[in-house]
Amino acid sequence: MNAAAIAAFLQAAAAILAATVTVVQDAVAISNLVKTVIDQGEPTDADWTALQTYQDANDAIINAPMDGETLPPAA
Amino acid sequence: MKLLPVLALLGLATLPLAGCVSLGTVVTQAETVYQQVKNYYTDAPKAVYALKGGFIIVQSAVAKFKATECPAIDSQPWCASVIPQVRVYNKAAEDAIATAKAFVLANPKADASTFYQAAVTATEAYAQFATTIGVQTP
Repeated sequence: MNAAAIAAFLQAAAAILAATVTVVQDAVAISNLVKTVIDQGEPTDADWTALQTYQDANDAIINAPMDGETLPPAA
Repeated sequence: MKLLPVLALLGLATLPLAGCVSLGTVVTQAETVYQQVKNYYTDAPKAVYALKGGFIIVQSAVAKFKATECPAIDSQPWCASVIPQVRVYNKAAEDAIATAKAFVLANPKADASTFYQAAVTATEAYAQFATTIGVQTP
């Protein structure tokens, strides 16, 4: 493996590690939110909204077109 | 309802994630958290809320996976085929959870098992697919 390949590998590994750390933070935050709500009793409208905020943020990423991608027209 | 065990599991199950180095592992861990949640909650609104939380943990891993691995359609040879499938699983799980939520909120005393199981099945399928594509990461 040459120096350029090693650098590319390290760069890719660093990007994935950075993403992993973010995912861990999300998982902890969501777990804590669920724990807090369940401790308090039945989920309120505000509790559902708080959880929905995470889903909406994820949807924006997942459903956004990739560079060079043309999404089919909405049904 | 066994609240304390699942609350402890929610906290503990996320801690090992700190040592992970691949998104595939993260998705697997998130799926484990989701399974633990699913197995413990029996109160309908709380169950659906916890299920939605477990789903979003998996979804967060998938979103980061997409952002990292497939910013462009040709970033990886499989992005063009995998990401559209991700969106289908994502929407199916969201719709099933939304249906279950609407039912338990409108009928808090009624048996929600059919709707809950449909949401579980859709979320499990999504998590399984996410785990499968996650192993393609370095």
